[in-house]
Amino acid sequence: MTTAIDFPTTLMKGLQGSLSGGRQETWVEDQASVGSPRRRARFTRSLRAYKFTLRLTTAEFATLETFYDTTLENGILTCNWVHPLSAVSYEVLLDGAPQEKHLQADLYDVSIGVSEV
Amino acid sequence: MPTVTDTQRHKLNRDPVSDPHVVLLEFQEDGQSAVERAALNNEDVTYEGNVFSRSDIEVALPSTGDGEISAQLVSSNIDRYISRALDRATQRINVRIILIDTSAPTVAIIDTLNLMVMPAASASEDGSISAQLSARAGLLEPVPFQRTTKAHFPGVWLA
Repeated sequence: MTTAIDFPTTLMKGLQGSLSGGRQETWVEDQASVGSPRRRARFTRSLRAYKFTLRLTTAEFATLETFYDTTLENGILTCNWVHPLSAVSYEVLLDGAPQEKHLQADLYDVSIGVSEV
Repeated sequence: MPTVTDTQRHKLNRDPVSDPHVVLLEFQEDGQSAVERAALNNEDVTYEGNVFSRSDIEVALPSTGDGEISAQLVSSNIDRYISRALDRATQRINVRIILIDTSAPTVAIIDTLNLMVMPAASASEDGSISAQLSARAGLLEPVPFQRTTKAHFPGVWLA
């Protein structure tokens, strides 16, 4: 799967150390009431999922909402998202619409989750 | 039917299984060449030159009883590959189940060919399709076979 849509890099700021997530496991596991769990390989690919919070101005938040509503067609389409630390690009779906928390005049904390496809 | 080697069998039964063994499904209407393909995996799988789309399918195993033996299959209808087969079909839909070892994906460990059929199905508005999966030529199958088609309810499977 490929996409020509890029997540707006200008908005990837003010992470405030909020980036969390990583790779998902490729195995399934059982849980015994005693003893250690057992595992079996289940999937062929380990996908990544991240959550982070951006500190944005009102205008930047509006840009992000327009990106979600219009460019991603309300979150239906995938986009290329660049990991801010490793600089690796992943094709992702946004977990949902950006969720905002108002901090002060012209400043929001906006929570976003992305899942690799 | 594939000939399974001792090595393949030992690997499948070994604990832990370190290479994923992936189930592939093919849906094909009787007498038609179009085939819808799905893989129970989180990425597409290529087998015999055909691409099987990643999909979310749960299969409830069959129980023993005095009726026809069948399994229940619940599939995501987000990409609508099963619903396309259902919507197009006027004849019986055959189902082929293939099990492959992803480290040697050219050799099937299990291949039912088109020996399974989907005699009944229902769609749900939450984006899933439930279907009955039976061995071919079940005695409970109506004769002549009649399927609910888009002629009866246009677009019903594409919900």
